[in-house]
Amino acid sequence: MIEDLYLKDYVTHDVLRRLQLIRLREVLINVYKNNSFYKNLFDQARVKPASLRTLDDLQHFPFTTRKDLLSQPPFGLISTPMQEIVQLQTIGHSTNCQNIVGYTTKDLKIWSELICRSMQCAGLTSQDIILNTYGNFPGDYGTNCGDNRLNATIISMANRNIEQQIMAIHNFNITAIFAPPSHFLHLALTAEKMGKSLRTSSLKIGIFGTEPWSDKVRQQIELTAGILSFNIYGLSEIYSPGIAMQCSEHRKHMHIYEDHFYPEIINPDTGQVLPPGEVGELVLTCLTKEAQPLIRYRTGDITRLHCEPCSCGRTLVRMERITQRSDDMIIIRGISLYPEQIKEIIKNEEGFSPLFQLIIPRDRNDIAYDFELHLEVLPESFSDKIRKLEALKNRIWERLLTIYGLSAKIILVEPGTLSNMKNSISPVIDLRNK
Amino acid sequence: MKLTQLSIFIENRRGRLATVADLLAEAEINILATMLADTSDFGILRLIVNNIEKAEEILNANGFTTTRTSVVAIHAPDYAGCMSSILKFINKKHLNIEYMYAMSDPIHGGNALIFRCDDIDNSLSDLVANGFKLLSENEL
Repeated sequence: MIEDLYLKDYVTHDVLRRLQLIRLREVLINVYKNNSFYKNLFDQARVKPASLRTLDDLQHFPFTTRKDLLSQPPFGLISTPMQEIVQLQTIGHSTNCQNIVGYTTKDLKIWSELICRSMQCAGLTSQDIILNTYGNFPGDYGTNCGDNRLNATIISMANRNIEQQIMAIHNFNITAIFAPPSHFLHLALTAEKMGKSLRTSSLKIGIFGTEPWSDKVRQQIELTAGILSFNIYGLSEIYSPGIAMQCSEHRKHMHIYEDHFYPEIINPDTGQVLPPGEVGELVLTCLTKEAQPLIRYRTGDITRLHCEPCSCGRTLVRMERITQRSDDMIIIRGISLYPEQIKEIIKNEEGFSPLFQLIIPRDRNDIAYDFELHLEVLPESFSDKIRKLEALKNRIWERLLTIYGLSAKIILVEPGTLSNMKNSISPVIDLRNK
Repeated sequence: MKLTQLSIFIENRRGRLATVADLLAEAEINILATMLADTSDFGILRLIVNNIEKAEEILNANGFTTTRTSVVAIHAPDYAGCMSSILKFINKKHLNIEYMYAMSDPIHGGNALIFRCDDIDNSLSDLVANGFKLLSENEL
């Protein structure tokens, strides 16, 4: 079983391309036949599954965007009968803009396979005990590895607090951890303060993802916890995480599981496919997903593909870590958010000017919130009573927590502070990339 | 008799309070009473000044958000238990005090207690009838 998993990462290019072509044809036929959204999309673009003769022909097919996903009626992108869907997850957190990602039993099995291969990529084996801190977010099933073919031991502590997680690492000889990097850094630094340094624990590997993190944070994580850290890539619209993973040889890049996803890099402005090695927007086509395969899905993530062989021996193409997006989406702890959605919340609550500035801290050390949100109180809503102003703040705080599960520190600033910045400073400052 | 107080929103940033003071100084506005309420990220500066229109104008022109509030200033002679007797009376009337601050009373000696109490209007005449002295702006 494990052997078979292992081999998938080392398949020759010839075999891989043939496999991709067969799977691509199947998936195009599936969506064209079973999904009205794709049927219309293909018809409008005057393409048919049969027009695909080579992998390169895929560039004549239309893109799918996040907007398409969110504007479709519920279940609008599902391509299998409902009785085959065994799990649903929601995407899009705004109340007026939400949809579903469905999974069949086979989809979940593949997700587990991807997680197992990713664990293997980080050097984990059946001997490892892995702490999963993800919870209440799409990656839950995957990181809990429903179909654990690696036979590694997984302990899920998503709902436990940081101190309990630290004690578990020490008490249960945990060797690896799945976590958002900001959470882990907070955990490692808290462990230091408790006199329970992770350097003295059995923890040696960390698999981090679902939010951007800088090399600086990576160094700090590795130094504080005495571990090797790996970045895993995913999309809540497909599998999050589990689409690409760093190997121990080349920790800057991530191997894309090309037997399940066909990657392209495009110019985000023109939509033209770019030659290998050029920087552009990553576009992914699901090759094996049954319930909801996405065709030429524009991820919004800016990266570059490396086709040259990796010293680890894996033949899978590598993508660079995401440091930039083609749109203004922000990802915090696996939760995606657009500045437009913040604006919407502010607009719906009285008392504030529509301008705002969102500041995401570099790490969560000693910080109990996900981001700072600076707001201007309108002169007509300014009250001499502190509790009235606090109540205005709390309403926004509560909306953000209820809708997105994100905890904001609301800071009231003097009027004009944000409007003066309008042209020069962005409404979002993400210190994690700095 | 109620006084009009000017409240100013101040960000918790170095130099902001000084900026307000500078602006008022330049406009030759005299501050009669002052109180600063602070929270973790902002403060509210409450002022009673000799020319509220002018103060408001200069502060608004410089981007400060202000609001006017009615407050009551009660003369508090200088003896132990004076504040207690005032508060007892307010309590008897079931009035809720939003905030209070004190300054020395330059004309009558002793102090002036300044209250924000939203439902105090109906009790003002009672206060006077019970021997409490309400102060006007000219008396501060």
